[in-house]
Parts: sequence; structure tokens; C-alpha cells
Amino acid sequence: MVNIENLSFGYTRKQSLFNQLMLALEPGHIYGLLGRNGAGKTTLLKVIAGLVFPREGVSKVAGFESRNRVPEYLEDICFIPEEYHLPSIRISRYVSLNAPFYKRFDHEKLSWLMKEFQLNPEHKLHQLSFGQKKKFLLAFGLSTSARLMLMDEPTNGLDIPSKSQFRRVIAASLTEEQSVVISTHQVRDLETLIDPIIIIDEGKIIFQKSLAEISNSLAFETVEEIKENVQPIYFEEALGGYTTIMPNTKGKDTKMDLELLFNGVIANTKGINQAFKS
Amino acid sequence: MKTNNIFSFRRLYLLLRRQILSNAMSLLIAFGAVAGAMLVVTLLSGFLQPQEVSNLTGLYLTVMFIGGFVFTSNIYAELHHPQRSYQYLTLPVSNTERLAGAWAISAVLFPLVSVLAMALIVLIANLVLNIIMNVSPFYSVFTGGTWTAVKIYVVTQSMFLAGAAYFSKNNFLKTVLTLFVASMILQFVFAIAAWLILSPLDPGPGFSMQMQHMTPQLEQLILTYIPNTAKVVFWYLWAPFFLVITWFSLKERQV
Amino acid sequence: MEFNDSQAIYLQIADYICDRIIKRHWKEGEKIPSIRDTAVLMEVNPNTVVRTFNFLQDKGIIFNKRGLGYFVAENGFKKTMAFKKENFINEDLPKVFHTMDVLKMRTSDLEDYYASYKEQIIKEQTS
Repeated sequence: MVNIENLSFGYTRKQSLFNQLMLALEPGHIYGLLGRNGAGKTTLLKVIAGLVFPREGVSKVAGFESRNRVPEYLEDICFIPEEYHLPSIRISRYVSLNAPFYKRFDHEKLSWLMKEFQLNPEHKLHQLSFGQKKKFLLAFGLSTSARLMLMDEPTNGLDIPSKSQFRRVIAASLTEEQSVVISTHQVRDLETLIDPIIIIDEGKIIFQKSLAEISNSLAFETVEEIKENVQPIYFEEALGGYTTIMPNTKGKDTKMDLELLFNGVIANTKGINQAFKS
Repeated sequence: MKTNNIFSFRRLYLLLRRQILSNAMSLLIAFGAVAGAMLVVTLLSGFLQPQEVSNLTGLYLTVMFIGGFVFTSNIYAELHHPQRSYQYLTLPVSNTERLAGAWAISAVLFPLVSVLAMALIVLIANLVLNIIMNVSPFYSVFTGGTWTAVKIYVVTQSMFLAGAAYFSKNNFLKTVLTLFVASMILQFVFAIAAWLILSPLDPGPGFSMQMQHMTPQLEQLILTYIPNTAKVVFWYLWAPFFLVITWFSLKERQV
Repeated sequence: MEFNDSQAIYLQIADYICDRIIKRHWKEGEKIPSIRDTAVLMEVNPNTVVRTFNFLQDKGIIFNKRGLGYFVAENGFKKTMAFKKENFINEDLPKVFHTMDVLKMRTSDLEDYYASYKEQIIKEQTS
């Protein structure tokens, strides 16, 4: 569905954010895009959405080059940025003005989502709170039936019940033809939702694995002490011992600790990726 | 259904509808305020000189030109707003439709509505003055001059449309400044060209031209070819050139 | 649903389904909620539930009728009990034994505690 090849990009001539970056995404998944601040998560989403153009290389969605922004491609993508501004009109009017652009727009789904998010179509968009606006954009975006949803920090600004609603809505509304890419810092909010995990660092995708692959190859264990003969790939000190990432040699499924995995991948990319080869 | 990715009337219609109705309130207020001010000016001039049959069309057209250029300059505001541009750029329409939509509103709809508003102002002013003072001092605005002015507007506003797409802030002022600088440069170039062409004709000191030294070819060039070419360029090439620039600005726009 | 840190999420969802079967909320031959409904309830990725269902299908606890959904297998109750028992013996008991070792307790000590636990249960049921 998404194919990025040899992407190089930089906002200035001297600095380059991406360097020969490669990425392939399939339909039917909720990808979690993780990275340190400034690693280029938002920019990568913008490249896929055709909002910024590669310096070198190409980004394609369903065969269409992103930067050409042709209508057929635009109908198939939905970009929800972290910050946005909505016109001062009623929700119902916004929908009647914008929905007809999408041939597959699902009005039933929209009214279901509006109910789920407790949004009233008669309310004016500029009077909604930040979180409500975000929920409206999500509801509208999911109803366009776009096959690729790009969400930049979607749970930022949502209260605790809304984060739960968000996970339910995403789990409920996604079809097998659709894919979501969620960029996030809020690992705890989305840990149960995202699969596969993509980690971007220093201009490249340094990790891209499904949860099944991760639990097959890696074991997340808390131990009291680090023994000489079983060195973990990565470990952090924790209360009463260490949380570790080990190669999964016992064939036991442990619960992935996404924060630990992220830190481990950043600190020891080679070691982690090595564990998937054996 | 196969999607036409270059142009569809359906999408153009939807885009026009969205553009107009999303901003309906502010558009109406701005237009109404200017039209109201014009009505007041018209009535005042009627009260002060009721006997003189007067024609304010010149004033109306000046206001239409300035108002139209400012309006055109802001037609792509959504494209440049940091938190709205993503919506405008990911809306499923082609660049051709983004261009055609903005052009239809600023170059066709705007002068049309403006001329109708002028006619309405004149009608109301005449009615009011007729009732109060039993005079009807104003001409109709539907004259050949008005239509020529509208045509000139359509040609010249294309430059402001290009400025609206190209500049991301203070579009009107930047376009005016650019036009000023460009016209200075052009004048300079033409002055040099004229001097190069005409100076051989000048036998004596100073810059006094001797028409009798002019060859027939040169005379034809200056009196026929240059004005005719200028006419063709202005009426048929000027606006399309700036529309093409607008199209490329839209196509290359990044956030 | 709140997940704990001790087990992979798909296994925790499997636990939840087994629990429903053992408590007879879902009887043998009955349809269980779809993958999507379970994913929504648990607020997890539907692919995680697919893994859960495949896992339970491999254990013979549930089965898939094409186009109709998933059902509790004929001897699903027995198999669930066996699976849970195996789980208890392999996962939970070693932890208990480890703690007993640390606290220097013997298995015979447990009998008294178990008896008083039972008494407590009966008291609660009768009151």
C-alpha cells in the first residue's frame, strides 16, 4: 500500500533528516511509528501524505506518487495532524461541504462515531474544545473510507475516557483493506493497539516487526541480577532488579514492554535485530 | 467508476460550494460593508448636487478594482494557514480545479456580483432621491466602459491570483511591490531598447527625434507592430501566463 | 480491560475467554463474540485477537465455522479445564514453591491453610 524508496529529505540544504530511507506498509495493519523527538515522525507522515516532497527518492501510495496529489490518491488518504484549525461553521455544515468529495463516504459510520464520541452535529466547530475537535476530525476521517489513515499523536489532548474510546473506535472501524499509521510518544496509550512497531532513528527505519515476530524472538523478563553467562541484549535497572530484553530461547511468550523495546532498539539496534535472525 | 484525475466539473462544483459556503459570513460582511459605504457616498452626492446629472461609475470601478485585488490576494488563505493548509492540500481535488475554483470566484463571480451591486446602488439611490427630492440624478452603470473595465480587471487580477498562490503572507502588498519593481525594470529595459533603436536617428546633441530620418520599416514597427503585439499580449496572453504560474505554485506548494 | 505485565496480551485475552467457559457463561457449541467485538471490548488490535483465537483453536477449545464465527468446541469445557490446570501447574505453582522456599515453608503446612480457606468460603456462602 505504501512504498517509500531511497527517501532523502531535509528542511535545509545542509541538514538531512532522512537518508536513503526505505519503508513498505501493507493493508490491514495499525502501524505504530515511534522515534525520538526530532527523528522525523511527523515529516515522514507528511511525505506519505504528499505535503512535503522528497529531495531524492519516491513515496508511493497504492501506485500513486504522493507528491503529485492526484484526486484518486487524495481520496484514499486521511491525514490527521497534531494541531489544526477548523472553520467557524456547524459540524453538520462542515460534513455537507466536505463529505461529497469522498465517493465512498460512510454517513452511517459518521453518525455512529459522532454518537460514540458524544458530538452533536448542531455544535459549532470553533466552540469545541481541542479534544472534541480532534475526535470530530477522527470521526470524519474514519468515515471517508480512505484506505490509509495517517495520525500524528492522535491521543494528545484526549482525556482518559476518550483515549479508551479512541482504541475501541480504531479496533471497531478498520477494515482489512485499510491501514493506519500512528506516530506517537504516548507509548502507554497505544501499546495494545499498534502492531507492527516501526522505529525511526537517524534518518532511517531501524526496526519494523510485528508483535508476533517480537514475542517469538525476544523475551521481556524482570530478573534480580544480571548473570555473567546470560547477558541480556538490553537492560534497565528497575525496582528490585532489572528489566531485560533477552533472546527468546525458551519459546515462551512474554508481554512486550514497548518502552523497554524502544529504548533497547535505540541503544542497541544491531543486537536487537540480530535476535530476529537466529 | 474511473476517476478523472485532471478535471471534473463535479469536483469543481463541490470546491466552489465549499469555498463560498465555508466563508459565507465573512464574505457577506466584507462585501456588504463596502457596498453600503458606496451607497452612502452615492446618496450624499445626490443630496449635495441633486440638479447635476452625475455618474459615479468611475468611483465604483476603482473600488471594484482595489477590492477585487485584495479579495483575490486572499483567495488561497487556506493554502498558507499553517494549521489549515493540510486540509486544503489533502482535499481530493486536482491542482487544475484548485486553480479553476479560485479563478471562477475571483475573476468571474466577483466582478459579476460587483456590477450587479453597482446597478442596485444606483437604482436605490435614484429611488430614494426621487421620493425625497423628486430627482433621478444617476446614470445606469451598464455602459460599454464598464464592460471594458471588467475585461481589464479579469486580465490584471490574474497577477494577484498568482501572488495569492505564490506568497505565503501579506499577499496583496507583496504582489503590489513585485509589480512595482517589475514595472520599473521593464521601463528601464524599454528605455534602453528605445534609445538603442532610436538614437541612430538622432543626428544632433540631446535626445530630439527627427521623424524624417525614420525608415518605413521602423515606422511600421513603432506605429503598428509594437502596439498590435502589445494588444494581443495583454488581452490573450497576459492572464493565461499568470494562471500557469498560479498552477505551478499550487502544484509545488509544500507545508 | 487492564492488562498485567506478566503475560503476552493475546494470552491474557485467552485467559479471559477460558474464564467465561469455565464459569459456564459460554457453553459448549455456543457462539462466542467475534474477533472485532472482542478487540473493541479489550481495546486491542484485532490482529491480537486473531492470535488468541488461533491459539485457542490449536488447543481445541474453540472452532471456526466458516462465515459464521467462532464457537466453543464440543468438549471445550474439559479442554479448557485441562489447559488451565496445565497453566496453573507450569506457571503459578513454581512461583508459589519459590516463595515457600524463601519463607522456609513445607508442603504439609499448606493443608491447614487450605482447610481454613475452605471454611471461610462455606461461611460466606451460607451467610
